[in-house]
Amino acid sequence: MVVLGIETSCDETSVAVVVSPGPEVLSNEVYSQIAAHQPFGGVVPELAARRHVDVLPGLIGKAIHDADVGWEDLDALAVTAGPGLASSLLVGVSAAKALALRLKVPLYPVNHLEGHVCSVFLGANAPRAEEACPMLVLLVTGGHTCLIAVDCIGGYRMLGQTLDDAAGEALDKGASMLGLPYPGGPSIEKAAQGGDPSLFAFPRGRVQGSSLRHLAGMEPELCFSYSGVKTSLLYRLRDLGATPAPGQLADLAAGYQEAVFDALLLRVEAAMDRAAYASFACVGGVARNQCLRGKLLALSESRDVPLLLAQPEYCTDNAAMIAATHALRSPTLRQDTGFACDVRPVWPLGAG
Amino acid sequence: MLTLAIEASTMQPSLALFRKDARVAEREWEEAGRGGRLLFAELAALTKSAGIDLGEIDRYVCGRGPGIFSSLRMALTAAQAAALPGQAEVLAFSSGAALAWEWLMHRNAERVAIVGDARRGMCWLGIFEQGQHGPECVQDWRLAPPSELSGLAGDGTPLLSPDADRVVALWQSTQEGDAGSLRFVPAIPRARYLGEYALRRLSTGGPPEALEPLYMHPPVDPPKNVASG
Repeated sequence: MVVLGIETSCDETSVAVVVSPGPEVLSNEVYSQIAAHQPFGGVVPELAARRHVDVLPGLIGKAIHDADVGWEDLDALAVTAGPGLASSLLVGVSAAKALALRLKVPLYPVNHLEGHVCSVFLGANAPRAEEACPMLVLLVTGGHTCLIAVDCIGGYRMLGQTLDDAAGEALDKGASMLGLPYPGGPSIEKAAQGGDPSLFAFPRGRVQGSSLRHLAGMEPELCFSYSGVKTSLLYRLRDLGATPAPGQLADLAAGYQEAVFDALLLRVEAAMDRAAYASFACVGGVARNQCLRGKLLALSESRDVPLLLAQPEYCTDNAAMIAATHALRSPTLRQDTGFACDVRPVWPLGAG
Repeated sequence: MLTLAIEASTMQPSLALFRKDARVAEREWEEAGRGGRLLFAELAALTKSAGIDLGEIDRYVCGRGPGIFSSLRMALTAAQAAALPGQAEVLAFSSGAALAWEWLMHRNAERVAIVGDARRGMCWLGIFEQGQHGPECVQDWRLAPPSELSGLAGDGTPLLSPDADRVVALWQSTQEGDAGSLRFVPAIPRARYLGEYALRRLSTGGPPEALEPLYMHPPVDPPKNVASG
């Protein structure tokens, strides 16, 4: 089966061709809009949607060309239908619907979060899903932070999620306060080199049970909150009075980064205390951070649970993971929506 | 030569199919919400009623607004994606030009202003006159406060608008200027006229417009620490 995947949920435009069994990635084109959004310190939805329109048709053609397949070889289309920015999702879904109509192939909407979960099954030496499950997944991106129990492909239980900012968002905002460029994760990682994380202590964002009323079934110990750590940084900078000196900047960045990541690790450990997993994985753009990877590796060794990390090119948003998600699904989980496919800006994982 | 015209700048989009210069099929409908949700069902219905396959389309012509951003993006993206496998041609012309074509060629007007609500207290406006090969844009698309519409359009020029009610309300809310001979006329750009306009332009060697929606506002106001321009 040859699947064309399209991903436009936020500020990356991506098209990929994936074949199964495998899944094997034949092409994975990604156009990053980071430079366009950098002056604004974050993603501007209207700007993102305009860029998607500009580049998506060209990327589709390039993905087909680079995969060395013909249009007639495509068996299915998979497109990110949500969650994400409505105006951005609409561009990818429109292209997918038009192609489905033109080529007379089935069209399958894919949940962006499920795509990230399945990104660990891409690339050389990637494990098979049957071997990895039950799997605990820490999903950390600029827009999402959650803990997911994966019983099998399609079998997901959301154990916890952030009540306010995503970890990547907290890094973006922290970087902005520190005068560092967007995106914040790589900036803070670079600034933190040589810094002492113990010199400036930041909270790890405990969650009160009373704030979980809208998240039925989730435990406070497995949920995240980053509002406190951001406020703490704001007050630290205010107390310091002036722009931090280079040495102080490294210590502040190291301390802030440590707090953001420790908050993740605490929840992963709490989840591991509650159930046994064959493996645990970290996926999403923040999973590229070497400091976080080091902490996760140490946890893996201490707990004796294998750590699965998505390959760097499949950590940030990409269409290969979207096409692969469809390819990995069992036939009973595949639902061809045709041109009835609609965007779902809010789409909890496991909600059908 | 099959040409498919897609006009989706308003909540009343339409499709028109031309074989050479003759219109052979047409669909018009009303969208319940923004985002052109019915476009693909209507496209399927059109091709079925015309007895053709989408792969037989040689050329797509899209209206590029001004109008509803999400619908314009959807139509333009759909046309470009559908055109890819067969390398069909994709062209874009302003939806306002289609409206001007209808009035100048079919209703014998000599000059029309196309206006709409650009939000943020502004109107968008373009002015067309009868030219040698059809409508000529004599005042390119621009933003203007409602109080300036009269001066820009000129006395007696009909102000055709897909959202006339909102433009009139906006004009009234400013309470500035003299109504004079302002004549607001509700009018919707339609694919049949977009197609006719495009085919005429092509036959007379007129160039197509940029293959992107006609955005009348920047995506965001520039941040304070970034130099404009």
